Amino acid sequence: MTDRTELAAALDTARRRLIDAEGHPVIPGWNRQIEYYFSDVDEHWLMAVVDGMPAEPVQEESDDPDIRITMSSETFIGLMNGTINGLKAVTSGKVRVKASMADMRQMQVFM
Amino acid sequence: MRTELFTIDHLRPKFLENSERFNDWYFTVHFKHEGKPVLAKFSLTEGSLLGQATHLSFSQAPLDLREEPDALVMKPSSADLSVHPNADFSFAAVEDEVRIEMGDLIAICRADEQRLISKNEQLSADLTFRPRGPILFWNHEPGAECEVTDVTRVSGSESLSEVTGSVTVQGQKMDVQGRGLFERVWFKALNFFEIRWMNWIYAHFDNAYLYLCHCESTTSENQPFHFETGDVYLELEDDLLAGTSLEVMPETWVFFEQVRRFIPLEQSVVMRTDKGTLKLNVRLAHYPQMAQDPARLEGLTINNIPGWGSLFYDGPVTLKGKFTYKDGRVVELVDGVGINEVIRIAPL
Repeated sequence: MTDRTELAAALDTARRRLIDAEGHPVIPGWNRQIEYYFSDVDEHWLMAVVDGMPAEPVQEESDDPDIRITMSSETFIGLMNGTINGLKAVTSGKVRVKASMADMRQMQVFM
Repeated sequence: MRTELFTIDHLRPKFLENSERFNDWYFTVHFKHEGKPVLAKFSLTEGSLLGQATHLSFSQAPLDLREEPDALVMKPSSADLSVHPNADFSFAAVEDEVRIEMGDLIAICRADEQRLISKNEQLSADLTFRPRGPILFWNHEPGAECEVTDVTRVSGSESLSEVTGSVTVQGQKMDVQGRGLFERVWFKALNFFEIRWMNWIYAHFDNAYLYLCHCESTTSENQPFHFETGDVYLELEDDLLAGTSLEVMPETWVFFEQVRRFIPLEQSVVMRTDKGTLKLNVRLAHYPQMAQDPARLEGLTINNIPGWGSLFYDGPVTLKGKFTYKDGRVVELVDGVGINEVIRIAPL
């Protein structure tokens, strides 16, 4: 079981990956609701992205997110700290994703 | 551009400053052992985009096909060997040499020759690769970028080589006098799931060699995207010809039991050039070697289509065909050997 601090730090890492070193959005003009569902702790976290700028993730379930990513909190932390490869995580079934083709590409920025 | 030399810059790993990248140093050798054709393959793959790993394989068993009531079925062979351990990456470059080390494999690359050393217990080797003739380049020029998908720009070189040295398979040493490939490819962006179907083929004949690749993909906007490239070198005529159009068409299919999918058993290839047309028949000769574990992506939903399958393998092939010049001259191509690498990503 992962602790809350690690999970919060990983969520923050995902958010920061959408912002460049000068504080500008990495994907300008991108508007999406991204929902993370951590199955081991049964928690939904929602990150709203408006014109490319990500808001702080909030613990909340969306009715219809644009992107839904389901995984264990441990897998998410591994993805964010680089110990787990994103493609391998999807191909091995550790991560379940629902997204459009266009968003699959943008997901590489923050996943 | 026509050259038999690599530049040292192209042998070095690229995009090391990028978190997303792919570099490979890929070696194969086809040779005969006790009169039978065999194939050894050693790849060093660096970067996050397709995973960092080494891959070693040895193919010696003929393809085992069984006729079943509704399909031809391909069975694995216990005589073949395939290992792909993860490996730490390091490299060192001096003025005239780039040395890549990953786990059990060492690639020592110079402009005019490349050496591959494997210290793996199951499959060790010490092989030297020298180009048979002009090196074949992606998009025909050294370092040229190819738009393989809407986001992926691939650069690389295919050096169809004479190979000498030795390979030791599970304790049995084999002297090698054969032909193979040294490939160097790099790219810094990839949306793997955009790919639907890719064929990459290289082949050696006694009087020619070639490389070709096409990739059918879907753009981020869900539009079809097509890429093709290829070159053929006709040795006696000393003609290095760039492909101007390419068709690869499966002719027969076989059920690949291990991955629960049908794959092409035979494919026909037509590549047109300014001087004439190349026609090939390409047939699997040994059991395919997986480049990545086959994946049934039950948890992936793209554009509201749930469940996808990903298949990525190197199929050892035999080839025959001909090159017909526009003036009617015909160059027969017989007893070809090579690899047909295939990627297929499709709904389950």
